[in-house]
Amino acid sequence: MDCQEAREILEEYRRGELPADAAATVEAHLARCPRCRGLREEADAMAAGIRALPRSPAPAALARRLERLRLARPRPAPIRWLARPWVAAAAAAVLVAAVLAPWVQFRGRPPEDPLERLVQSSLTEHTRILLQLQAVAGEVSDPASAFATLRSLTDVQVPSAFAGDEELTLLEARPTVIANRKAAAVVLRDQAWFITTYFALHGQDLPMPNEGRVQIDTYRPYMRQVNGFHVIYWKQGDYAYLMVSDLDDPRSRQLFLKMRKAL
Amino acid sequence: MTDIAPDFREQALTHLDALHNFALYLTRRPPDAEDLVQETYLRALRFAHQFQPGTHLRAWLFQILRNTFLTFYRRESRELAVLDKEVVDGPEELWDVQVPATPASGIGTAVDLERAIRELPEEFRSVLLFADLEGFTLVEIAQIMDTPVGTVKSRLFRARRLVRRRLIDYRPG
Repeated sequence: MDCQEAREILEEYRRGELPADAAATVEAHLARCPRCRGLREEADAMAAGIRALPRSPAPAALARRLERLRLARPRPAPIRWLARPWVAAAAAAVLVAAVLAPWVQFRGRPPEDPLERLVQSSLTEHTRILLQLQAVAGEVSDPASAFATLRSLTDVQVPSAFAGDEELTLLEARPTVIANRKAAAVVLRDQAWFITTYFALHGQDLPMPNEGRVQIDTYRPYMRQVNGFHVIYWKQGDYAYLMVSDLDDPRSRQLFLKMRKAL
Repeated sequence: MTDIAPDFREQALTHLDALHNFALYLTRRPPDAEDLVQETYLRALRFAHQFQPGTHLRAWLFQILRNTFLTFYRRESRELAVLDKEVVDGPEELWDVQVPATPASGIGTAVDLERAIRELPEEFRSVLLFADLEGFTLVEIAQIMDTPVGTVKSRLFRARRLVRRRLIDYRPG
């Protein structure tokens, strides 16, 4: 065995991941080669130094938050539509896209098109919320009072349907800004911990395009898919609503319909 | 979709301290590390149905944590610009390398070593910590980082060399 061969499997040798006969060959080479021996000793010394470094265990507050999360078990009831193989495959693809797709990022100036601004703004806010879900283990205990506060801060009357139900749990209600307008954001999770954010804002003057709309039951909201997220935009009365989620297409439509009917 | 295995959540939490320690090396900021760990657990629970029982839960959690970091955090974090470019990208082969005369003496203090690791580019920082701190096998690291074993080994080698250079730079005089 020469130096090249030895060094190619030196790491496996050091870590005890070689079969005995290969390990013996490396060992024989090391016994007569000071350069390769030096490499091995250096790696060993550095590894020992790294193992001896002080650790930073999780702060108690984080441990407590996650402990609450552990105890918040979802209901075992299976979601029927997910049992169909093609739906499960599509859902898996969306999940993978949500985790692995590059972060939604908007460079430079915001777009001029009002619709585009709504979509991008809601996507950014939804993803920001995903990152900041500090209160996720503690649900909103008093939605009515949270919605009253939200109204005083944003001027937006938050529909009571946004408080959730048996299927959807309200995680957070917060004021925000969507496309330069004050808006109410409510964050709901379903039983499988998919997070959906609904936004409500005054939108009488906001446009509703003809293209990009989909038929869901008797409604025709605007729907877009961006980086694994579904954005649904619709108008109702004086308000504009946006729904952003990393659920798959059928489930997004289902949640839209449920909320649209309840408003 | 089946329900999450009853003990899955409990087992996942036993790795909390190790994940937090690693998250701190990745983000370099305690609040970001906490957010990253929390996001990791949320995602692990959401993707729990994809977890294959009998496979390595710990490796899976580290994989989710790192992917979450790369997806959500890295673009915003300020990766240090001081990259030893020739070391990171150079074509040098493993067998064509100068070995320091006194290898074991070059490790320096724990403070220096920690600083040198923190200053590594992410792929080198992660591979070194997975290999030497967390004790994953080369095959497990390859799975976590979604890269061939050969790449893991060459990154490990280069990571050690970057650390060694930095430790030499830190020395007074």
